[in-house]
Formats: sequence, C-alpha cells, structure tokens
Amino acid sequence: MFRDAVLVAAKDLRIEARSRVAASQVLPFGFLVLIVFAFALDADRTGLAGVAAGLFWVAVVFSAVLAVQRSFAVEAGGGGDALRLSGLDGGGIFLGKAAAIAVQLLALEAVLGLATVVLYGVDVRAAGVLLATGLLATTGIAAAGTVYGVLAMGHRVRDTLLPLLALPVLAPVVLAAARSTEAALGVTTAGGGPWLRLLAVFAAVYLAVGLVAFGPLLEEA
Amino acid sequence: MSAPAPALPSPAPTRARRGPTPIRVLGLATVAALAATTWLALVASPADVNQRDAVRLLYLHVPTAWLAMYLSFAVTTLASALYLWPRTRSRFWDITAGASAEIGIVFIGLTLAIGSIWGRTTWGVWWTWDARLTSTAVLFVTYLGYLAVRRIPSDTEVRSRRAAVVALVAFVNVPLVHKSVEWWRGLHQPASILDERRLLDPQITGLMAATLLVAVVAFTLLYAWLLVHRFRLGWLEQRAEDEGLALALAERRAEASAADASPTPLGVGPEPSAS
Amino acid sequence: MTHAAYVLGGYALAASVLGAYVTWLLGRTRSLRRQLDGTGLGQHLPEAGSGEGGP
Repeated sequence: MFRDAVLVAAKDLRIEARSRVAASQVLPFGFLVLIVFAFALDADRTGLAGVAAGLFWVAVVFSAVLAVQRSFAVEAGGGGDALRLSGLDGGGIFLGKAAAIAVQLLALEAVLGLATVVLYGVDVRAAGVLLATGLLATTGIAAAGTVYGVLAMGHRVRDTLLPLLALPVLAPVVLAAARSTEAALGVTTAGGGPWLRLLAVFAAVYLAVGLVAFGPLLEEA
Repeated sequence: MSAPAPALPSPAPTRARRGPTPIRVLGLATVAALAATTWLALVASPADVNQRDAVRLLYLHVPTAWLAMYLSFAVTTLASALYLWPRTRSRFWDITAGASAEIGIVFIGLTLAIGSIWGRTTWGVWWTWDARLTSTAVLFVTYLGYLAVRRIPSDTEVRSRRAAVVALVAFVNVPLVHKSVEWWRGLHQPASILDERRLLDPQITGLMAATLLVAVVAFTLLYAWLLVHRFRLGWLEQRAEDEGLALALAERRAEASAADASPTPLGVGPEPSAS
Repeated sequence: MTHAAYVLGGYALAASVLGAYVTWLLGRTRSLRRQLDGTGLGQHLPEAGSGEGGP
C-alpha cells in the first residue's frame, strides 16, 4: 500500500513540477485572498495583526480547495478511470494523493506565512507551535480534502460541490489552527495545547476515513 | 428541489388516495397535538418570570431543535449505515435517509430562525456566536451538502452509496465541530442567565413543563408523519426516474429500428419530471 | 416591537414554513402519482404499514 502511495504521490508531484499550476495559480490566489482581506478590513483601522492568524488559515483553506480540485482534475479522463484500472490499492492511492496535496499545501503555507508576517505585521514567538500547527492542520486538510475530492471528481457540478462539502468539514481545522497560531504569535495568552490536540485528532480521524472509504468511493464513480 | 409539477385540478381527492388508516390516525393525532401545543403555549401557560412572553417561543424552539434536528439526522445516519451494510442494503434505507435529511433541514432552519427571534427578545441580538448556535449553523450547511450530493445526476446505486458515505462522514464530523466550537466559546462566554436551558430546569413544574412535554410529543408526531409522506414521495420519484430511464431506452431502440425506415415522431409518452 | 409581536411572528413563521412544506409535499406526491398512474406504475406504491417495500 505504501509503495502505491509513493507511486501516486510522486506522479502527482511530477505533474505539478512540470505544469506548475499550483505554483502559478493556486499560490497567487492565496496571496490575493490575503490582500483582498486587507482591503475589506481596512488595513489601518482594524488591527490586522490581531486577525492575521485567522485570515491566514482562511486563505490556506480556500487555496486547499483549489489544490484538491486540481489534484483530481489531472486524472486522465476526468472520471478517474485510469486510477481505477491501475490496480493500485485504494488506501495507497488515498495516501499518495493526500500526501501530494499536503506537500503542495506546506509549500503554500510557507510562502503565505511569510507574506502574512510582512503584510500584516505579526511577530512569531513560538516557532515550534507554529510548525506543529502547520503540519497537523495540513495533514487534516489534505486528508479530508482528498476524501471529498474523490466524491466530487468527474461530475459537472464538481467545482461548486467540493467547497460546499469540504468547508463545513474543515471549519474545525480553521478554528483550531487559527487559535493555535494566535498562541504562537503571542496574540493571545492562552496556550496552543488543546488546539493542537484537536488538530491531531482531526487528522487521525480523516486519515482513517480516507483509508477506509477512498477505495470504495473511487470504484463507485 | 426541483419546482413541483403543477397539480392537476380535481373536484375532490378520491377516498382511496387519502392513505390507509394508520397514517390518517397519525395525521389527525399530529394536528390535535399541534393545536394543543399552540393553545397551551400561547394562551394557557404563564409567562416566564425572567423572559416573560419570550418563553413561549421556546415551546417551538426546543422541540424543533432536540427532536427533529437530532432525531432526523440520527435517522439519516442510521439509514445510511444500513444501506451501506451489505446484508441490509435496500432502496428503502436510501430513500429513508434522504427523506429524513430533508425534513431535518426544514426543522433545523426553523430552529435557527425561531432561536434567532427568541434571542432578539431576550438577549437583544439576532445572533450570537455561542457554541450551540454555531454548531447548529455548521450542521445546517453540512446537511445541505448531503442533499446536494443526492442530486448529482448519476447511476442510482452509485449516487445512493456516495450519499450514504457522505452522511456517515458528516456524522463523524459532528463531534469534531462540537468540541472545537465549545472550546472556542468556552474561552469567551460565561453561561448566560437567560439561557434556553433554564426552561429545562427540573425545578420548572406545572403548566410550563406540561406545555413543553406536549410540544415535544406534537413535534415528534409531526416528524413521523412527514417522514412517511416524504418517504412516499421519494419512492415515487425513484419510480419516475426508473420509468424515465426505461422510456429513454425504449426510445433509443425505436430510433435504432426506425433508422432504416422513414423517421417517426418520438417522445410519445409524458416527459418524466426531473427529480 | 413588543414581545407579543415577536412571539406571534415566530409562530406565524413556523406555521408558514411547515404549511408550505406540507403543501409542497402533498402536491408533488399527487402529481407524481397521476403521472405514474398514466403509465401504470403508480399502483406499486408501498402503503405504510403494509410491510411492502421494506428492507
């Protein structure tokens, strides 16, 4: 299963390396979200530094939806036939796709994080917490996104259905990640501990769900 | 949902169409219970010491929230699980899951609306980001997504199974959302005195407690009645869809065989309405 | 607005929403039945309590 996962992940990342869609479209999109927020919230009046953590994660989650859509759009035939016929293990495909999405998201977060620090003027206090938040949240987002991505794959309504399905599910992640990040930025005095635990639970749950459900869902499409 | 096809005018519904006795009894009981609830809630029961007349809204809000919301989605989850389980797989469970979810959406919408009005009269605001309201709002959107998945044009089996999986994942999501929101709001808000839960304080006795009980019973009956009828509709829609498919196949065959002869007009039967 | 107005408004809202839903439900059922009756399939509707159509 893990070998299949590596195979799929490598393929997806290779496609990305060659086409650079995530880099040239998804990343700028995330960037734009941050900028548009600054416009909408009136950069001077609102303490942007105070809300930076939340806005960052909103930008990440929105970009993640695009990344997931892209991940399933690259499957030849649009309906995932190639994946199904490949004979690869369902769980392995899930892990591979989720891993590829996670890698892209982490890269995205690194760049957007830098942008947030610069644009919103925040200080990083606890880098360790920040890192843990990023890793755990990204795992959860990638796992949940992949599960819903396969559900929506190949349908004409895919582009509107995926956000509708994914965002309510990702709401707890946004919540926990934002609170944890705020702790890391010193915005609140509360610790990030319970939030990190929640992120870990979320990631574990959706990894489990994906391993179980992805194969059958793929077969059904 | 698609717009309802206009009902053909008829002088009076035939007796045979009214449904068998158990359902009619249920319907009558529901109406009676709802009437009793309304009278008790609006007329007979006293105003609350703190909330005054606003408490009367809670006789609507609490039942819709507790029973219809949790009950509906529990039924959807259970039915979805039963549908997925090979030994109990049946169209019956799929239609039940969908029916219950749709009713659940109606009730959860009502819960939020009535709750909002109640909040306006007691807290002075139409909305507040307390844990339960927020979780409820997320639940609402989650099940809208479920209903959307049910409408994807697709092979019936495939669609039903996907919807069932979505329902189960949605169920998994509920505690996650709940916990996270609770923690979040726990940091910010102390419990308010004018809490709707005061109504459920065991010390409240007498007519108010009785009214609440009647209300809960009435809404449970309403849910049951709605479920039966929505199930029927789902069954009919399924039939219409199957028939539509059969019709389309027949037309294709007619086309194919008429391809040699002169072209014949197609589409002799009524177009099945899209479900 | 007085409390009473809010309360009545709330009840009116609930009644309207539920009434509309019930009306839609029954109306659509009736029209589908007619449509299927035209093709002879409406007879197979399982009546509640008859046990037919169950799992």
